[in-house]
Amino acid sequence: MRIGRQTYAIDYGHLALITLIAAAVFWYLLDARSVSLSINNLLLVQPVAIFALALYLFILPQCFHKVDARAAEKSVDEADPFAVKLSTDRADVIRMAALGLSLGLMVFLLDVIGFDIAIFLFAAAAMAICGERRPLHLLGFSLVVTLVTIYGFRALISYPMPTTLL
Amino acid sequence: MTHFTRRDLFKISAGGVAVASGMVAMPSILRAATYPSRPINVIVPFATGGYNDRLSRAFMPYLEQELGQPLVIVNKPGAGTQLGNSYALNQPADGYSILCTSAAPYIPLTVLLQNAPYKVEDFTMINLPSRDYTLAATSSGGPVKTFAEVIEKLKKDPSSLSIGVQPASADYANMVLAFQAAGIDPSKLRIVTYDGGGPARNATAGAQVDVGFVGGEGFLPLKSKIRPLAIFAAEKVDWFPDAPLIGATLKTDFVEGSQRGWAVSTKLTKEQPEIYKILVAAVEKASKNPKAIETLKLQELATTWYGPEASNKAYLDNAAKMAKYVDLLK
Amino acid sequence: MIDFSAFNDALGIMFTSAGSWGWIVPGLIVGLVFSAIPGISITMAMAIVLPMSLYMDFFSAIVFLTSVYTGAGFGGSVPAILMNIPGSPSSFATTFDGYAMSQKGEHNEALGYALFASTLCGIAGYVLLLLVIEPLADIVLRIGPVEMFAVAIWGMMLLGSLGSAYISRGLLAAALGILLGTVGMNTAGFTRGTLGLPVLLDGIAPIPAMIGLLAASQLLSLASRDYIIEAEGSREVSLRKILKGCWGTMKYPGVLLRGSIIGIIIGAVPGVGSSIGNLIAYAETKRTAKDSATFGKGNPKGVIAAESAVASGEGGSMATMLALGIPGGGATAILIAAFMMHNIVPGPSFIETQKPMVYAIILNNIVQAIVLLAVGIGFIYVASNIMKVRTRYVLPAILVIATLGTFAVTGEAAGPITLFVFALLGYALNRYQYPVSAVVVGILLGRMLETEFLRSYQLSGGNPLYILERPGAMAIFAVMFASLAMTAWGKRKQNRAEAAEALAMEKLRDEAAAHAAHTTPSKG
Repeated sequence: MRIGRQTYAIDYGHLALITLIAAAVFWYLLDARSVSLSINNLLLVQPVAIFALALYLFILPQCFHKVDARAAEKSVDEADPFAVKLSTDRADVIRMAALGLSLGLMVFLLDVIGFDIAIFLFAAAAMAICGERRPLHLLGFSLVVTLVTIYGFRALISYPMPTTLL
Repeated sequence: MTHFTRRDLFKISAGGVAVASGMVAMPSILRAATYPSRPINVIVPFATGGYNDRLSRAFMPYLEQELGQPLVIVNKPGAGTQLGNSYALNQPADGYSILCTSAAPYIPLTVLLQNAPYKVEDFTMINLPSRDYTLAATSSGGPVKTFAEVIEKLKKDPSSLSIGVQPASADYANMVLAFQAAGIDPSKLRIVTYDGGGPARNATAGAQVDVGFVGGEGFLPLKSKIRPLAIFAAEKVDWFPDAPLIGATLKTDFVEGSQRGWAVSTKLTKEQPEIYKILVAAVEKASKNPKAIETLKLQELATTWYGPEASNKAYLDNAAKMAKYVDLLK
Repeated sequence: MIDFSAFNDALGIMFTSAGSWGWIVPGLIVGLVFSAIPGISITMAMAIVLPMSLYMDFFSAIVFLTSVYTGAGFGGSVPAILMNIPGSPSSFATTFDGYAMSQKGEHNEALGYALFASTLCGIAGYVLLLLVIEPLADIVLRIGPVEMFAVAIWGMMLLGSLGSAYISRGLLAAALGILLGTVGMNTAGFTRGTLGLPVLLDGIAPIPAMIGLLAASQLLSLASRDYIIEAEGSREVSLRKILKGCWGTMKYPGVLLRGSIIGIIIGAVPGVGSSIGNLIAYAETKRTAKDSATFGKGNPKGVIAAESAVASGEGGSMATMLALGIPGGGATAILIAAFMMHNIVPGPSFIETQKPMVYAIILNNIVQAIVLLAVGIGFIYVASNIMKVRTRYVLPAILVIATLGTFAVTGEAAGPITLFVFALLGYALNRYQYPVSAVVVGILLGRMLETEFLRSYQLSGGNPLYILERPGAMAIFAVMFASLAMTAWGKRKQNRAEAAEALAMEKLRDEAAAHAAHTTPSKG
């Protein structure tokens, strides 16, 4: 993107993330205000929400990098001890995404196909994603995980756990 | 157990409907004859350790003795009993799920204020042995001595005393009703809100607030730290005899506090009246068991047998009163 | 102070009921194992075993339950250190330095530090409790919303030490966390942001959210590794190193003491819960430390500070429970229920009439803390072996366990779904360098912040001068600001010293250069 003489690169992912956050915060503020305008309701929520929206406007420009400034910014990233360094290597990203996707599938299918089947499928998928290829190990270990966790948690908690086979 | 767990899976498929309706179509006498043939779930819509949880666990052995099957306590806390209540209604009406809950005022309140997806009439009481009443109290070292003094002070200056109370509760309704009857504008008061009886009691005992309006039963362990000012009951309450009745100071309407005990879904009483009868008989027998009475008394838990009729009446009366005063709670 | 005749009687109870001592080790093991499962908090571990204790006699039941409590207080730090998943909110601060240490291959030492800090401060908490149980109880009831608000703010100060490359992103993350923490019905009865879902009326379940946020940043990224620690030589499990960590704890008496004091006081206040003491202790230790820059990169003091506050908080919480009969947190609520189920109602009258029993319970807890040392070493020795297992086995198992752990929190799919949604959020936040920890702190403290701020406002009728009537709150704020000012001053001094040093070095270098320049010609 060009503005005037300067070329800008847009970090679309970052832009989407903070816009999503800001939209959620804005919706939350509206939702709270629609319940009641009483101070008992808005005392903390309103100022914090407005503060968050102000920060959004402040951070927004960070999504647009001057192209030549990009390289210089890289060095800043290294300093933070709490930031977790996520690998940006293509194969690793695909692995993480696949694992996240299978986690999501398991979570939403727990009630539908039963805890036992969902856990078994997830365990097998997760092992495959982590690099296990031997079918015997894959199925055997997944089965062990399923049996141990289902029977273990059933003994621990009083909530009924819908299962299909166990 | 496979039969039981499979059913949950079927619930979501079309096949489940057929199976479920097939079960309902079975003659109720036939099912009642074998009832109970497996463990019964007791759904407690509060966390482990609360009054209802303790009541259910203490009463459990005596009820098991009558029913001849083990009971399994399932704690389903959250959303002012709404989650547990909905859960209970979603179970099949076969007598294998019963509720031990603070039926009033929680069920009416979830219906009136939270748009809960059920009606007050969806629940039928077996017995509500525990009756709680709102108690207005102050810290034992506090300057206020009587409820009349509270009214006098607040009449002069509505912000002179701070009031601790749980919003959207029977206690809140009673507080508003009392002050309205005394000619004090509740909206001018310094009201401090607590999200539960426990925190409100601690605040009262620790003189965080000048006057607290909270269910009286929970105050018993802290009795030496508070001074009772008025209890919102029509007659002397046997577990707190030295609390002056509100009627002595002020002529006002009030709602009764928590009514806790045993309930089932109304669907069960309609579809399986025989099973409901078995449950009622079992609870009655267990409640009258001298050993049960002795044990529960030591734990400060109630066993009084009022019976389904009186209990349902008390519950529905409370619900009607809550509906009448719902505007005060919003 | 101590009533000596009652103390003697207490020793009598201890020895006559020696049979109940047998419950200490099983209780500790149950506590350690349950709380090491991500999602199972201390409270839940105790709720699970409560029905079991009904069939024991009173003293045995209390010994068993308090042993579970003691064990669970430490158990959560094991997954926190080894895998960066806090078993429960109380071990969140342990992850900061504990996980960093284990990534450096120092997991043996880190666990040793945590265990010994936990043991020592657990004992310290109970000894203090023995001395001041009655006066403490009266003080505790006097702590009101303004004081609690001050404590919540203090907890938020931790954000300052979470230092991110971008301050603005850290603040946005914290604000988002606070707002997420206030979802649901607030203390005044207003319901916001629930999307009409009844499960959200009580707010977003913090444990699944926390595990989701942190798991996304760690567990998913393990997919591309073969082992949790990449360097092969560091994966060993060594008793010698664990003991070295235990012993090393003794080198930081100041950290232990500060953590204990913070833990006891915060643990004693009803309703605060155990999730804030460790945050404050960590932040204070980091701020006052000379080597504060190494915190978060594997400084043992961070682990010690967090664990000492968790362990000593247990004593504080027990004090409130025994003296007043009111729970300091979820775990003591379960204990009260256990007392009641054995026909004993804790509270002021219990302490007056049954002092020997109260002392016996406290003494037994001190014994438990000592036994924990032995049982704990065994436990971490076994648990550390997870480092030697390939991630293809560990990862699926841990993710399944975490999912079921969050299911145990809510009893329905809402828990696992929360986990997943926050895992996605956590991944995105990490990707763009937003500190996930700030969101977690916000979620853990948001509700308390709002509740106490609101009550302070209601009590004062909106008059800020009300704080002048609350000496306690003023004292807390004063200590907080003094601590901040001192650090700032210390930093300035340090910076000045560093600047002076740098200047001196430069001078030296210049001189050397000049000297070199001076001497070169002669050489040449």
